[in-house]
Amino acid sequence: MIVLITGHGDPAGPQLAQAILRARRSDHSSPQPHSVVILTPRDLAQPGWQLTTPGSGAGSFVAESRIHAETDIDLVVCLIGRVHPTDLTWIAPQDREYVAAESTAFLHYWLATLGDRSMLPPTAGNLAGPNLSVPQWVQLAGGEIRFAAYRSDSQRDSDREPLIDIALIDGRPLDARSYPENDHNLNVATRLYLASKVPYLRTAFTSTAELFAVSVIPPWRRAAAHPAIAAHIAATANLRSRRRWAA
Amino acid sequence: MILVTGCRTDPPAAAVLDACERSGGEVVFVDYDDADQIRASGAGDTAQLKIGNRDFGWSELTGVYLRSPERLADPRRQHHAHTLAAWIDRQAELADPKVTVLNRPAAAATNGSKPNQARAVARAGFAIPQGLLTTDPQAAQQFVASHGLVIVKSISGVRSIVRLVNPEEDFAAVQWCPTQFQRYVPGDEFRVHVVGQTVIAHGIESTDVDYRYGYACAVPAELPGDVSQRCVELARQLGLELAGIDLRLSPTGEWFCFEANTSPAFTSFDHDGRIADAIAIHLTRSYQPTP
Repeated sequence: MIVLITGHGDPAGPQLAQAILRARRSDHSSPQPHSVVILTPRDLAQPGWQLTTPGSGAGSFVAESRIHAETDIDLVVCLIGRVHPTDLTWIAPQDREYVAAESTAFLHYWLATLGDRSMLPPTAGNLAGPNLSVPQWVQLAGGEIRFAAYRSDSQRDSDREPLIDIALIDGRPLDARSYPENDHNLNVATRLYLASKVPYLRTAFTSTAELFAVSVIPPWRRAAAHPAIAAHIAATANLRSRRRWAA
Repeated sequence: MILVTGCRTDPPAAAVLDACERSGGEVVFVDYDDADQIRASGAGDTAQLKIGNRDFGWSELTGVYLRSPERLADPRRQHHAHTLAAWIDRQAELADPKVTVLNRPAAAATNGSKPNQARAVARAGFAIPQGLLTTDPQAAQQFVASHGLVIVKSISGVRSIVRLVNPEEDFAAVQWCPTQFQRYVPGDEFRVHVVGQTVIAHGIESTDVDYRYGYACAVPAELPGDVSQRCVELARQLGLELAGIDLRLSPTGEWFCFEANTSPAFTSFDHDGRIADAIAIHLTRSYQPTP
């Protein structure tokens, strides 16, 4: 079973689930089809979750309002960095901050105990993987990458400029755009990708080729237009050797 | 040069500032109540702070003590204070390993999920109580019935009052939010502050389940050597230069650890100033690589 953790009511979740199933059907080397379930913060407000401390691996979880066994999971892909209070419309407004913090901490524990069955290990501050600032990404990649510096006393011009976006999956650009040889931005994005060992990486650059933002949450809202994302998830559910980033 | 951040009304920030000044070192205090008069720019090696008429570069720092802007005297300054705190956090995370930072933000965030932190606690050699995280009222009731005395506490770093659960109480509300239940462990309570390799322990005399919200008296205590070592090891595993560790010695002689607080409000225990002094010494010490 593949579990997608998405925002509540976000149509992109079911679209990605369908795309994963399509990718599974077209992969004839696959031993057996996976089911795909969507887990949203609403499922954290349903009876049925049972996890122990210390973790036993034999707990139960709720997805699509149904109770499932943890042992049935092949892969969990978390597409949200945290549970946001504003999403918790079924919780009394005065309690949303608290419930969001508790739900985030709960998911963090669950994802961490799943080991390499979690697509990316959660980190403090990000359920979906590494939580680094742009300078930290630069540091991770060995430095010597120009990035847009922050100033507390003025708004950067780049805040108003259109940004150049490059998303990589499995080390290759996700878009169909052709890049000139030795494209600076693509080279930087590739360096960051190689240093990070994450499956997806999105980067944004200013018009002056300064690195402006880095994200490890895949462009899953565009999943239907990019079958490579779904194919990657489907293949990873089968092959643990693909999860090099989980080490 | 040492950087201390916080609010002047925050006792731990004030105590560290005082101890650093008494130690004779050069200290800069970023008071979040004055955040609107402080300018920050750059990142990494080029990071600069301007406080009043004075500029200084982040590269001049040898030690950093961070407290959050939670205790602002004037809440209208929240935006400025939190923006500045976010910038300082980013620089602190990036600071050269030779700079002693209490604590680097990523390490400080390790108590954002208590059950996840408990995995590190167990790796450090402490016992952890059996627990259940659930949204299932029936499972909660069964857990309480099978363990007798059970406490309920928050999962996240949000402070909650730890309390004993009454087996007869209504558990229906747990279906709205994952809730953490833990077998109650009786015994003698200790609060241990780890500052680098220095361990300062206090025994807590209290009749309340959560001593922070009842009568409590802290008295200096000595821990067995191996327990002190485990505390240092736990702080090391979590990447913490400063930790406030909650221990309990059970009647059967097991040392349980409940939490490592990553920004401890140590002043409640520090009647003789030993903890603040240890922090000041740690911030000013010359850099020595970890063996």
